[in-house]
Amino acid sequence: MSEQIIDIKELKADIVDGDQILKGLNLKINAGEIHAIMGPNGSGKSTLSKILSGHPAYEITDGAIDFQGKDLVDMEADERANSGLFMAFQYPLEIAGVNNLEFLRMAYNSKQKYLGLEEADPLDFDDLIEEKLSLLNMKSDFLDRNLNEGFSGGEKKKNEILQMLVLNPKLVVLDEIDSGLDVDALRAVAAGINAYKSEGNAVLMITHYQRLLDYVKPDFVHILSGGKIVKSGDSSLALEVEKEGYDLLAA
Amino acid sequence: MQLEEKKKKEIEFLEKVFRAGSSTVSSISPIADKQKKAVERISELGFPNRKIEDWKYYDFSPILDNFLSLDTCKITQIEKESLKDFLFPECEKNLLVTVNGHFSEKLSNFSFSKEDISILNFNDAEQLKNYQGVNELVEKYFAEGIEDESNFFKACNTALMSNAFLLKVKEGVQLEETLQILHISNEHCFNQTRSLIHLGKNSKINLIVTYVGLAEIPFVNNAVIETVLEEGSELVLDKIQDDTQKGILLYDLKAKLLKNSRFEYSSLNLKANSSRDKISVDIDEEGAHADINGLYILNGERKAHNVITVNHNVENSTSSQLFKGILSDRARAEFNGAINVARDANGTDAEQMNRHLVLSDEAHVDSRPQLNILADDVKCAHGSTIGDLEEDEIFYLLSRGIKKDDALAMLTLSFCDEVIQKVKVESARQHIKNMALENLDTQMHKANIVHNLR
Ligand SMILES: Nc1ncnc2c1ncn2[C@@H]1O[C@H](COP(=O)(O)OP(=O)(O)OP(=O)(O)O)[C@@H](O)[C@H]1O
Ligand SMILES: [Mg+2]
Repeated sequence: MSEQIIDIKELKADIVDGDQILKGLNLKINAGEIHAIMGPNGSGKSTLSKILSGHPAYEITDGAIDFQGKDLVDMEADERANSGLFMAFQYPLEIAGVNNLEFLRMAYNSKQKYLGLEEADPLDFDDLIEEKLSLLNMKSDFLDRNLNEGFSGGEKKKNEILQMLVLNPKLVVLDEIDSGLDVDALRAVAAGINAYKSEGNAVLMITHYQRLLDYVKPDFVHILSGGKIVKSGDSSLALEVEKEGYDLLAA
Repeated sequence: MQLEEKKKKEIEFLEKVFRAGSSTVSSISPIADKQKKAVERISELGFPNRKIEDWKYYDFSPILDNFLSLDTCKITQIEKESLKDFLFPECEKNLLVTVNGHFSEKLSNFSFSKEDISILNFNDAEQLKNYQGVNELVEKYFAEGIEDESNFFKACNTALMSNAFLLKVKEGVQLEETLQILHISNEHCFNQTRSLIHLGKNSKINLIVTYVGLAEIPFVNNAVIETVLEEGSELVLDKIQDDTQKGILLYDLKAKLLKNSRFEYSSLNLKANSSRDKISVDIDEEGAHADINGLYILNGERKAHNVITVNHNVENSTSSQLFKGILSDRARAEFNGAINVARDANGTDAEQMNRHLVLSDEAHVDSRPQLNILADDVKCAHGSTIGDLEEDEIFYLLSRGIKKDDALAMLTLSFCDEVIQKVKVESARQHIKNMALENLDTQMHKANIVHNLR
């Protein structure tokens, strides 16, 4: 049996001082697997990804998250990231005045430090980045710019994948990485995901469309609705959703 | 009792200024005239108080409390070595140094010809005689506004200035390199620095003016700069105030912009116990543009006051103001920025933005933007924000494994970046960033950040 990456049990979570969004969610992901989550707008998909990565706007009220033997609930966001969790944002933020390359280097070195490893030699790091850039078909100009500042929607998504490749996490949660991408960008992003993917790690993709799944084939597809996984299946479930819509499936 | 004490100090202050002012009159007649007028005005006005609109939020007691020994304002021996932290390699060849308000020939050096750019000492009557038009410049532009009660300290400077200089850029001369003007204080004194900067037609110069305190003793730095930009000229003036934590800085800048001239100004207040910047820009002819920026980073009990006035006196001119402040602990900031558009000044395009990042509940900001528009066909925009760091931005950095302290430092620095980028000299930008980080909350892991951020 392959190594377990994450085990989410009966997870309940609220918006701090607000409504309950997740209402007893269960999900288990093993190494080497690709999972896709689909679900209606407002069903809690982005909330799930933010809760996993430790966003302070949400609080877990019940349930457990086991991430590689560690209890995720007690970990700060930076610690989760350094332990190998990566979330690509549905809406990546623009941060003026923070240089993209410096940011990547900071993030990379934070992880190295956390793991008790040496910080990257700047030249080696540049080589590492160059390789990832060409895989994503990104110009190196992006490195000189400020973090996502003035990036187009598609460029922001590619930048998320670039970060993912540089940090090489154990589990990635990709929140609508495919939205707003043109055909070429979608291919580049898919190439990035497939290059990342190995037997030792796992992918959780949140998406509304089949088109990404044509390039990155999921082993499991789940439907999230009303804060719970209401249905799980193989890749054919996504096609069903595309054809039938959520109303019929939930019924 | 306390009030009596205060009155006594005010009188002592006035007497000293009066006595010293009467004995330091220049031998050049138009300068002497203005100095006499200043001394007269000082005795008429008396010590200023908070009833004067521009000084509403200002606390005068540190000035009065610190014994102001006018006598010790003299040039002292300083080795260039001790200045190295404040010198920018890009300006190595063009450096003007004053020590406690006195010009230091030994520490200064210039690569340009005296013909192109002249630096004339107001004390040197012989030298001034040889330059045509100096009297006219002084009459027209020197010590403007000293009769106004809000300009009391400018009047003091005019009365007491020991070593003012005139920087004159000849018509058509464009200096590519940047000239650094370094004002050093290392005595417990009431320091007057003064300059009149004249840009001839179509000339261009970049200046970086730094105020530095070398000793951790209280002093008051009373600085005045007046500048005139003739038609088509361009002045970039970056002011870095790098005084010790005990310095009290009064700063008065007046700029006059003539046809199609361009003035880019940035004020960076990084240290000092308290600073007050009074900046007034007069756009007196068409087509001119003024770009006025400021950054202040305050912690502890420190204070910064910015009193900015941009006057659009004629048609078709533009201006923009961007002031940013970061406050922590019990710091206080005042931003008082006015845009005045005269009745005939149609086609004015003016904007003003003032942003504060307030990192502590006990810090306090008074932001007073003022638009006084008398013309009809005008584009004016202004905005002001006071806030904390964005939670989502912090989270974005944390989610990439960056520690919270580092994330806060990065974001705070990124808040400053917009203003820091206006500074033309690369090593000065780096210096400002380092200073900014030093000033930011002590809990931040600055060593790590300084190392990692360019
Ligand atoms: N910080 C918040 N404050 C208030 N409401 C919130 C907050 N975060 C999420 N919600 C609400 O929780 C619900 C779930 O939001 P979420 O963003 O997780 O949906 P989603 O499944 O990702 O939807 P979409 O497919 O449109 O991206 C929505 O009704 C949303 O308005
Ligand atoms: Mg979403």
